[in-house]
Amino acid sequence: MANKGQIHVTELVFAILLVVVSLYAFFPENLRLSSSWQIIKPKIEIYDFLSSSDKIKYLPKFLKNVSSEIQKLNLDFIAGKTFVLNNYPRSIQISCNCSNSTINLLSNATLNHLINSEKITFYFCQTHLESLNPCLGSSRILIIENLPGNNYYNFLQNLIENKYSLILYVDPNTNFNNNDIANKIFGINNSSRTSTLQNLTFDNSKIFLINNYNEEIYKNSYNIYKNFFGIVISLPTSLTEFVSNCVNIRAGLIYIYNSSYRHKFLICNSSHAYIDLNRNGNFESNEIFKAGDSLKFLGFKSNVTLVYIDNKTFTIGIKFDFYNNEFSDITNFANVFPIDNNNYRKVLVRSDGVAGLIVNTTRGKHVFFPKLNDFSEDKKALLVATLFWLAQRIENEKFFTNYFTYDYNYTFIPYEIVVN
Amino acid sequence: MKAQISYEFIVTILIFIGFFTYVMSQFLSFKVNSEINLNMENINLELFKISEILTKDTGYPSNWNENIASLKRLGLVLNGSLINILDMNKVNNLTIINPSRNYCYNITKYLDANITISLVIEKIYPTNQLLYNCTDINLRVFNLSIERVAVANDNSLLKIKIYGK
Repeated sequence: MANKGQIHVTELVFAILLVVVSLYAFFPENLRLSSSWQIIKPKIEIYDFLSSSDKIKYLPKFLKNVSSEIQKLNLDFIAGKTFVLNNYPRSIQISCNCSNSTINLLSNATLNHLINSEKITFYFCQTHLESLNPCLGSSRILIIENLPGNNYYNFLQNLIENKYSLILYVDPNTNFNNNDIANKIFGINNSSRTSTLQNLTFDNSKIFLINNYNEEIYKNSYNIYKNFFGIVISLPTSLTEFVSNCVNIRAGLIYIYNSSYRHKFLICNSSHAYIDLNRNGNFESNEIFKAGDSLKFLGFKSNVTLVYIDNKTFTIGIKFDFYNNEFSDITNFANVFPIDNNNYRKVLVRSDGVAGLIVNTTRGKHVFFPKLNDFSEDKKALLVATLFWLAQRIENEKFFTNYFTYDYNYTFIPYEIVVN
Repeated sequence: MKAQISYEFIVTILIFIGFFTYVMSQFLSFKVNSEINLNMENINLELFKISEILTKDTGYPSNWNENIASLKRLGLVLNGSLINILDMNKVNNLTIINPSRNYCYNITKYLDANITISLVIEKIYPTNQLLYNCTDINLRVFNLSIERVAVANDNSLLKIKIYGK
């Protein structure tokens, strides 16, 4: 028991400790104002830099030698950052609710082509809507060969909730009216509408411009367009042909536009190839080309670039050059239009408004791709461009991820940059 | 006994005063820090707004560089540009709008900025070149800045750096 004037020291110390600890509880750190600017500001600045560099095609030079370019640029926000390139998927699995012959057709159409000078492998595996079996467990792309009835609508909606991208690969002469899947998921019907051309253009300072600027095009068809003009289609040889002055005699066919437009080509040697542009069956003296040359096929509006000649694998590579407005060689795609008449949901549009394919990005990414019996080279490029776009997914755990383009012989080729 | 102050009473008073002092000091530092943070938020927002106006807007009228007297709002984007390409002519005309390097009064006015700013515009690619610079010499230290990069119509990259206080 304490005497008068005495305090128990232990009681005193304990009381003080209790007060101090409770004060820290009253003023916790989270009462302080938090700000996200330190996170957001670098993202805005880096995005500006990457998109601006992309516009004037400086980005490839920057990425080839990041450390020395950073020193020249004198930008504060870039110092110490690492730029990791090429994180896009190199093998893409696609589930296909379709027949074996369709799978074979699609597999052959997507074989050996180059994106950013690398091969992307596409695996198609068969599945059924009744018992969906995604390819190797990782596929989130589903091709549907025949238009399902309305009874499948809820099922497909469920897939969309689970981040599936759907491709409706059916005969364009199918009746899409009154089908919920066609109307609501893919946003298409058969009503014929007059549409204006998209007025895509490429100005002479090599900046990709769009005349009637509309954010819709960036949301919808822009990425497929960018992919399409960057994909290098690989053309194999299988024929033999003798041409004087040529060492190699392996020949193949370039199939452009429709089945009557088959152009023979011959790999002459390691640096030159003959290409029968005027389709008269002969290789004329002005029809010999080297890598980088521009090709003008008879009857085809767009120019094509001969990208490479490989006399070890006996293949050549071609890509489609950017052109204005009309894409002349859409056939068999009549009578299918975006239900909202949004012209920018179309890719590769003919003068009468018919399109190579129609996208819908209202919920997820979905594509109506008209069914073909055979794939010309431009259709192959369109299919690969579409599948590559659908396979791209942004992963949230990365600091900064965006998709830009890489200059490869003055073309657009897609890739991903991750900034850490 | 009466009128005697005991030790217990003194200690209690001392503890109370100490406790009160501690609480007030915590509260005051919290208040000061909050004010500083709010101020920084405000400056960051303002810097972002100014940088957006400069790099994403043509200004008003959109062809103000043809008749500088008509300028109502500053913006560097090329008249008619669809992807926010900056106009080098507009950048060069900044020296006419705000000739002094020692303050950015006119720049601030035509951007309707609520903070004191300093503006630096440099070409960073393909060559390095200082294109425009104005700063308030009375305010030597700027707390915050934002750095934006944009394409100009001569196919160059421009860096637009805005400091704020």
